[in-house]
Amino acid sequence: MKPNLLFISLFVFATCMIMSCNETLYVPVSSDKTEQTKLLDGRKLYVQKCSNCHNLYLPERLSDENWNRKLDTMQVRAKINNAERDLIYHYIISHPKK
Amino acid sequence: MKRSLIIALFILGISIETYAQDRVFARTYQSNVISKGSFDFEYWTTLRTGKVGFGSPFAFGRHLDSRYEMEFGLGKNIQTAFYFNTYNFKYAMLDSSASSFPTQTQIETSFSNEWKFKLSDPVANKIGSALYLEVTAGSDEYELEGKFILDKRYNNDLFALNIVGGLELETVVKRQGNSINRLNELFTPIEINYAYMHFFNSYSGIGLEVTNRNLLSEDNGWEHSVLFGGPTFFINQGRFFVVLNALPQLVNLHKTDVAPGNRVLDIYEDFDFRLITGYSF
Repeated sequence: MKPNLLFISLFVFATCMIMSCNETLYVPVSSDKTEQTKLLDGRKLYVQKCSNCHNLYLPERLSDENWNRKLDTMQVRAKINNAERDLIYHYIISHPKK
Repeated sequence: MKRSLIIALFILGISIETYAQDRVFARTYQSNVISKGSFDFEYWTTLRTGKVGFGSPFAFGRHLDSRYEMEFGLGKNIQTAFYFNTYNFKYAMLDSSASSFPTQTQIETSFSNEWKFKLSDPVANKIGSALYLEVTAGSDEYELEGKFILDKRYNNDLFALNIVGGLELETVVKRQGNSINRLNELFTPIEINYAYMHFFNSYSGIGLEVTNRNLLSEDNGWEHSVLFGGPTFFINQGRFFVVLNALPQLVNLHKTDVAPGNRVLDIYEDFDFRLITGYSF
């Protein structure tokens, strides 16, 4: 009877994980091909450069102004050049507004 | 005075930025790895107490374990770590003919090397995942351990699941007929760790860790399946972080002839506390 406890807790845990899987870093969709490429490059750079050192923050967690300040601080530490920084910033502030 | 304050703040790593290490659990691993060229130092202290009770041969048993760990980021989602472990076990064996039980101390040391390969990110991808491999050589055993790590960050909540499999080659001494022989016994521990953390902000959180430990041996097959669970608290102040966890033994889910009790107190403890302090360079 008691092993049920293990399976119930595993089930609850698995359910929580699956539910939370819906929440991810947004993938940009734009009808403008140039804009789409720019946003995808920004996303790729954000994941590559930032997730190496810490958990990524979802774009909606900070205001555009705070992101600007955050990127200024992190740019040197993460060895991001100005062009890359602009692409990351553009991707972050272009997130779908809820 | 001012200079001392600045030095103290530097040592404590008071800063608003998040640095390399994002460890928030004491038992359960996350998929993230530290960046190339980064270096973390961690000191683990584990106090395990209460190795007494039904079926236990001990009148008293308490462990104090330490781990000194250095982690290195190698880039391309790979990190490695080297650590030195010490296990200090103070115990007294039950003896029905004795009126007092003298305590003895057993000290073991070991050296480990671990590798972690991040496969996906817990925020950028649907689920974070990583593979982990650890090799340990100790004064009384050799151990190989592998983990499959899953985690997912959802707003202010983090879920993590580890499936752990190991191979332990342990030296035991047994009487066989008239002779006493030293033998190598193979054990296969299988462990499932699951953890949840709620973040109050980027720098602190409180959560729960649950561990299910199973042991398979050559002689007895599946010996037991023991469930542990308890709270975890973490604080991250810039480069410095602290993780604290209490893990009481809850119940033995798989009773056998070698582990017939509701809990397994000859191998595991009643309570297990762990404190991890770390600094990212």
